[in-house]
Amino acid sequence: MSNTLKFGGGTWATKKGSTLAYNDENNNFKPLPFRTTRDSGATRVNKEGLIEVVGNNVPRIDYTDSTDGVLLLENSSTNLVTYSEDFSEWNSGITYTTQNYAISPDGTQNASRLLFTAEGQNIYINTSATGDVVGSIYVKGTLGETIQLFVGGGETQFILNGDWQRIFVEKTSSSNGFINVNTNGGSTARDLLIWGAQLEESSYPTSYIPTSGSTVQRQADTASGSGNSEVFNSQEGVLFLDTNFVSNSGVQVLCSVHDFAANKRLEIWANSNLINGFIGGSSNITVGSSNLINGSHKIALNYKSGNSSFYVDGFLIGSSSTTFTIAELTKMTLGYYNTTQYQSESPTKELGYYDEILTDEELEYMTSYRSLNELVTELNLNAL
Amino acid sequence: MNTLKFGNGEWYGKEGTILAYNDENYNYKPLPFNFERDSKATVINKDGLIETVGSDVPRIDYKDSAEGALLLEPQRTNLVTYSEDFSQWFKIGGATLTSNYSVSPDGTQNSSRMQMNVSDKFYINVALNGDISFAVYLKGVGQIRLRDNTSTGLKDVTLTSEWVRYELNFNATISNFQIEQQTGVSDFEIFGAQLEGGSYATSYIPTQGSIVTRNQDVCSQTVPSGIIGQTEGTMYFQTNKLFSSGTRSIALAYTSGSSYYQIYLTSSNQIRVDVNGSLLVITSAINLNILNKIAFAYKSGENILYVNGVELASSTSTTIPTSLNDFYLGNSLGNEQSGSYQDFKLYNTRLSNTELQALTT
Repeated sequence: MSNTLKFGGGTWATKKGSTLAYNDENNNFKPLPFRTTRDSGATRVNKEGLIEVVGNNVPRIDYTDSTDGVLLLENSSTNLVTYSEDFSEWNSGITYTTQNYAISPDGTQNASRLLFTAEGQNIYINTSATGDVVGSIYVKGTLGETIQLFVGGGETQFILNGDWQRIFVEKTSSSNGFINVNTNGGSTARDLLIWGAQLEESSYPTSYIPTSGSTVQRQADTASGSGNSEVFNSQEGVLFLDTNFVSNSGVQVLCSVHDFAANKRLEIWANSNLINGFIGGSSNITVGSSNLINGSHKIALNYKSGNSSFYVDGFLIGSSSTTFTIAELTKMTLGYYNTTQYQSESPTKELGYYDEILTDEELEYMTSYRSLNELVTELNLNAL
Repeated sequence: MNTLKFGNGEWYGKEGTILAYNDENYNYKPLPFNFERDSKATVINKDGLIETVGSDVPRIDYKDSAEGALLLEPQRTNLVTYSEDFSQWFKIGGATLTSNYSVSPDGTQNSSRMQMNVSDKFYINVALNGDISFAVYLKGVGQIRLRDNTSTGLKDVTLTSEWVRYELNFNATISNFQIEQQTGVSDFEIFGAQLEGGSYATSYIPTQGSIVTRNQDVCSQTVPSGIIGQTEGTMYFQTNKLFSSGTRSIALAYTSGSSYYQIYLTSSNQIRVDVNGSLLVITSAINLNILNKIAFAYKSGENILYVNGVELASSTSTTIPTSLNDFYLGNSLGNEQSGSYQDFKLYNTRLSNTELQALTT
């Protein structure tokens, strides 16, 4: 077998408009870059663990939950909180907050101190948010104390862990546009740091979008155009994806090898939390489907006419003996296969392409982990 | 083949999930359980301290085992509105109360000291009827009485120098609960009073001025094919805590409709397995106060249940559920959780009786 395309897996090289994939057969290293676009600035968590702003079209390698990093791909989203860092603009903010009091998660002296004196106190700001919303804010307080966050009619009490943590509340069919930090419900925290408030019309929080006086929109990321017809074999091969899966309410194409046509494509795609291995050729074949929970998953689509299979996390999820032909495969793309965007919102840890099918044993090995420790680390779990 | 491993000292998770796995051929594959609880809750951590964890965070309880056990509890409410602030309780007599006197079982300086003479009393008003459980942490010198206003529930406690959670279970209609100095004198620390509707005490639920409800734990997953044996298999559990009260679900292997194996504890403390809603096997009453190792093995005509190395029930039924792909630990089919799990394993083969005996010994 030949691993004809490699991407990620802790090896990242980027510049504006491009992130590197490559072929290293026979130790000849050949570039197969993805073209990356985003018509706005955006933030990521860098290797130092700090939130960093990057410019238009700059790919984002994010280290939030992984020392190896992930390629962050997100849909467009707007922070409807007009003052995400200046809490003196919030209602009661002047009473309870002190600006620029401590170092924030972006590494500068711009975190605010929030000093409550009793239960039942709050600061809040109103926004235009409607529908399904998610509100988030970074907080840092005394380990074990509690603070409450109210968003759009929903409310959750959080236990502080003594370090910066991003707390969030999702509310479907919100009843208002408020985000409110408070000591209701017996919350015990009185003196804490806050920074980076965000309210989005979304079902989950996306990367932080700074604002200072007006709402700000972050545009969608795209990554496309890696490879060529010599890299991809239209007869047989394996498409491998290691992803931090994030379920959204619609369709996302996590990875596709294609030639810009419905009958020339391989796809790993998801509808809500149902992941699918799909072959689009002379026949349309869903090789396998599986419900995924959000988090790290290794996925492989093994394709050959009459002998295809789909593996997720070491398990054979489905197989197909249906025959097919595909005229040509020329590109690898994240988020779509032709001109219709099905934004991938799941960060990519690693991608690989092999131009021959693999055995069941190889596929099982490729999509599983080598030890319990590696499994725990890669899934970002804690010892309980 | 052992297709799913869970626990046995290897506990990993985060909000919303707890890890089970398959390690056949040294390929480690995740089989995480979804974990839900719509409230925060407490657990005894590795340091032996009461720790509060957030919503949906699985609780591994180290109270009775250094290896830990997954704690699955039903919804309960602490009806004592001030569980730690005893200055809010009513006082009769000349007892002396000192708040924040010393370090409590949660590791902070928030225990209260009570110095009581004969006939002194602290009490709190709680209206409740039916099965009632009162629990409180105490340490000190002397003997005190825990009782409700009717004395239906009554326990004389001889205090020791170590923190102990004393539990009193009874059935009555009450209007208050009392800590009373019936004879002599006492000098002790107190923390974490809890009074709940139910026949046994559950984990501590802190309160500060109002009643607080801890919601139930729910632990389940849909497994890939091959994990639950479809024509034969074995399920193994190790538990050091099973609650005796009504029908308690231990586990459920399930598919949509009415096709399932359900393993549960009856109100008579028997282990019972139903297949598709009908009795398959049932044991005699077991001792709930010891470490129990339970294995249920199934195959057409060869169903058997072992507990602690002994075959306790068998059946030659040929009924086999179809398409089992969901698995629940604890709460299922309307039955409450059964307790805690130290170890849980699935096999996709019916182990031999010799293997079952060895596994459960």
